[in-house]
Amino acid sequence: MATLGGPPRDEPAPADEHEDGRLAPVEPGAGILPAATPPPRLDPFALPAATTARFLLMIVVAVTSSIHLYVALFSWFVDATNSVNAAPYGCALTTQATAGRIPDRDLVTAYIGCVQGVTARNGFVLIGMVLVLVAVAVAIYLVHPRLVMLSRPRPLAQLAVDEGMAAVVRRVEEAVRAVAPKAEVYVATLRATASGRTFGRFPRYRIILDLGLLREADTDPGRLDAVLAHELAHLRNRDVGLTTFAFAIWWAYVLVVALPTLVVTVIEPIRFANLSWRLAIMLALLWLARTSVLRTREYYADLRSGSTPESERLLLSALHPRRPDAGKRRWGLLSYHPGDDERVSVLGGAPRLFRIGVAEPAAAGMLVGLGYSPCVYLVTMIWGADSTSFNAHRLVVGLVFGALATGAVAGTAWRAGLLARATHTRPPSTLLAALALTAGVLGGQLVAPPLTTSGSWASILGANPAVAIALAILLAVLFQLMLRWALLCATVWLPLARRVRSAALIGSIQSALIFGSWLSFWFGVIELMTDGAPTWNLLWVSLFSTTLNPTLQLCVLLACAFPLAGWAARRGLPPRPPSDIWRDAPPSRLAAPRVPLPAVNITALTIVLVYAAGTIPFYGRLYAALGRVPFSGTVTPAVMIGVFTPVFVAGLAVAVLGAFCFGLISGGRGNTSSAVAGAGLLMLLAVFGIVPLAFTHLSAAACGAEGMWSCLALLPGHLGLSRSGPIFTIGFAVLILAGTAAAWAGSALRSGTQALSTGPTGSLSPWGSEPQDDVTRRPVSALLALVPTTLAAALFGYLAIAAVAGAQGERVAVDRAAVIRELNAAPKGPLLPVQACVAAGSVTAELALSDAFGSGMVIGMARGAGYAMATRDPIAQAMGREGAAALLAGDLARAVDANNALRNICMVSGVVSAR
Amino acid sequence: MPESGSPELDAGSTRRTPPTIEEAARLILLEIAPADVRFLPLACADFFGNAVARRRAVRATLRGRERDQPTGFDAGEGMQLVLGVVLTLLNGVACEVLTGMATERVGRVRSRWQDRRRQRALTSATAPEGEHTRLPRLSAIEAAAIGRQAGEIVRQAGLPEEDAQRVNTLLAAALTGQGS
Repeated sequence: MATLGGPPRDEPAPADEHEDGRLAPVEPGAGILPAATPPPRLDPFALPAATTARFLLMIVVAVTSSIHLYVALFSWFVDATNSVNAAPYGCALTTQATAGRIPDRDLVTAYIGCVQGVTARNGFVLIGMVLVLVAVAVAIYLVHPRLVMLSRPRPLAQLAVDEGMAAVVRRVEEAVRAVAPKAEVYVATLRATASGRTFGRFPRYRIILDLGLLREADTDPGRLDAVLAHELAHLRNRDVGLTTFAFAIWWAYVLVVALPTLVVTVIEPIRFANLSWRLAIMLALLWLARTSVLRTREYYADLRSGSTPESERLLLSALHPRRPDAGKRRWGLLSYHPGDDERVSVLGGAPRLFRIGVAEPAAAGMLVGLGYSPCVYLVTMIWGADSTSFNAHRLVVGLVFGALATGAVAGTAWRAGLLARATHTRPPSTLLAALALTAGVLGGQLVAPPLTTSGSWASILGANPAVAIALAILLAVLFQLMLRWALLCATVWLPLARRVRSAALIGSIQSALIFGSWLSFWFGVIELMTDGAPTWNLLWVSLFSTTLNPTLQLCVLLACAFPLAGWAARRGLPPRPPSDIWRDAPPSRLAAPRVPLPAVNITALTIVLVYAAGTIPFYGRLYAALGRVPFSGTVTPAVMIGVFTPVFVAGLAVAVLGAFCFGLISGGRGNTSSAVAGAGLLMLLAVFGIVPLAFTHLSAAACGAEGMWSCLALLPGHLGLSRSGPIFTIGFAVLILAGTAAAWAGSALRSGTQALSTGPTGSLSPWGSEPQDDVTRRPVSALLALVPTTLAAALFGYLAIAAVAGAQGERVAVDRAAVIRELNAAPKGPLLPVQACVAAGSVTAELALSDAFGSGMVIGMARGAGYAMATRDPIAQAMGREGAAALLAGDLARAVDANNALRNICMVSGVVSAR
Repeated sequence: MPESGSPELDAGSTRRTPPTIEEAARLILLEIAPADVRFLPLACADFFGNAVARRRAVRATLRGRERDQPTGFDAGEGMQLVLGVVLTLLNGVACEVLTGMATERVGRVRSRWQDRRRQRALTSATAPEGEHTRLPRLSAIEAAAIGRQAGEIVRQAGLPEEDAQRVNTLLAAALTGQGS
């Protein structure tokens, strides 16, 4: 057990253990506190608690995860009642009747419209079922106070008839009136404990006190005061409403989701056997998540009620076990309250509420893994699949879950950041939390029943375990980056904020945006991978396509800009006032991390200059390579990659070398985080030099010194500005990965040499070692530091708008020869419809990396269309013809529609013929 | 109606009329928790006037702890008020639920099943006249068996061994008309 401790010092030091298990920094020299002086304790209310977000996440997941079971129940109902019109195969029957009598394009449009209409109707039915769940939960929430009052506790005033109790009653009434004038107090005469309970709903809250507690008040008034203060603290902390609703949603889930599922499982055990164990795990998870949050809320209630030395003493006395075996809980995970020892230790200053735990991220991850996919599934049913690169429906759901998960997880990172800043210790490792979060999400995906359109990691694991593991590692890396970034932001912004609480709230909003977008794009990759055969090729294409998404780019830029803005603000603003962060010490100033901004600017400039001059000697070779490139007409993605690769490899080499040197200079023991963050900024600056220089080098090498400017003007036109954006993005993505890794390596090398020269414990220099007051105000420098990020945001914003605007009816460069070759390569004989279905369903089988930049899947769609035309089925023929015509016309959206229609009708055709 | 705490004598007998539930409860409480006696009328009214409250009190007695309640204080303090325990026992005796069970406990498996049955019986039984219901008069052997059973329930409720012994003795005495 550790302790918060230590007022701010100029020099950081490793932490040491107190006798009572609390940790306090060991201060060298004059800063050592006397042994008898307890270290000051951080105020847990200085930052927002993460529990509200955990509560809300649990409630949202209870609602959304019900969709899994409702889909199965609805499907069973449709089958049982033979409701043909409710299912998409009604559309197949209609299309069968009109095939050959209307144009192919109209047939595809009519079929897709019909399927979307049916799907939307089904979606509304599901929403109705979910609303029933919510309505039952609300009803339970409303009726809950009545349920508690069924035991008819007596109003407190009735006890005043006893003369001895009149004073006690007055004492209680006064205490309650001071905090919650409208709260009503009752007495439970038969409860054997000396405790209390708060319940009710706004605005009528009630407190029930046990008679044993009031009886003791004559001899031991302290316990009554402590319990009453604890109950009133629950009211002040606004625990009652959320607690009751969490209780209500669980019971509603049992009544409206679990019970019907169990009934249907009894009727059709084979069909629903697979759902039973998942349902059991979901119920258990929701229960455990609720008890976990409630236990944390108890700590906050204790801390709120023990806010003064006297009230703390009374609370500690009340928590002291009266019997040797009291206070120990057999089922800690199922209990609503933590053990008394844990409560005492948190009250005494143990930093439990300031640590990045493992269980909380795992639970939050599992809830996200369970709840995200069905939510996207339902939104897609209502809105239809979004064909723009924004993937708005996924993004919106991602932002909702991102906000809740961030509140639950990144909030703890901010608290850990505050602990590190306040006690001058190193920020904690986030690796275990990131792994727990990842394991939670993947576990949630394993437990959740797979849905047809939203994809599942479990399906990928079954089809290609190696790819699934790669995706899991990617997720873990994203989470680790997110948590480290949150910690970095906390350590940068907390020392700057007038109110640390506001800084944490703003930081949480930023985290929600970034985490939500990352989450939605990871699930987007999962969806893409589940849609086709999950091969390595498809993985790379999906990842590159995702990297090129402008929304993601903007979110990454936001992530870069936020800590950078903090660095800039620190240089531009006067020293901030002390922060009120201690429970029992005056406000103090938090130490800010070291700002390697000058080193960043100098290194970026050096990289650009070296790249500008260093590539000139290789123009001869470049010209030899570029001589064969046709710089006219359509430039295919493959050609583009071939042209840009040599110049970018050179830029990459220079940038990596520069970042390594940067890490070597500004890194070292305790400075690795700032060095890595600085390297990220460095790469953002460098990419704005390297990409234009790459264009310049290409023009100069291809057209010579005289024709360079005219070629340079033509080059973006050949490539198209909408495809130049991806070049910046890929350049930045590659550079940031390689650059930060190089900076980390440089810093690690310096750390190693420091360790060799000073020994493993000597000369520790954490990055909070420099007090912030010595920073000279440089407002202009601060503003200049933000210029590249602002420029990048403007560029990517423009590209994002262009991408959305161009997504509707976009004509893409299609290799007509390749399309015709694929159409002709289809077998001539009459094929079985199933062969066309297989061909249409495997459009992603031969994807190449270049497809991420251009039309993508064209070859596969052409093959599917060719096979469909070779069948005798009139619907398949019509859809194949429509697909081929769209591809030859370069209308990718139409071709995708035709392919989707073919695949969809393939799925339902078996049902049609069976009926 | 005799005065509280002084059951009347049977005519022509040295044995007294068995006490009512309230009288017996008062006797027991005076021995093991005198401070609770003043709340006995309130507790009796709630125990016999409200089925939900009674059920919860019986369950807490048999479980040995109160239910963990969210937004409660719950410091694991154990049983502090014995009113519910005493009324549960006496109600069980008055309804002859405890009487029937005192002789049934054989073997672990059967005993667990019987525990559940006993819990159900104790939660559903109510003395017909509430706290004014008289306890049955029993033979010394039967009373001793019930006393042991009651002592076991008191132990199970988490009260000290000393209290369990006292309840055992007092209840057995009351049931045989020996109580003071």
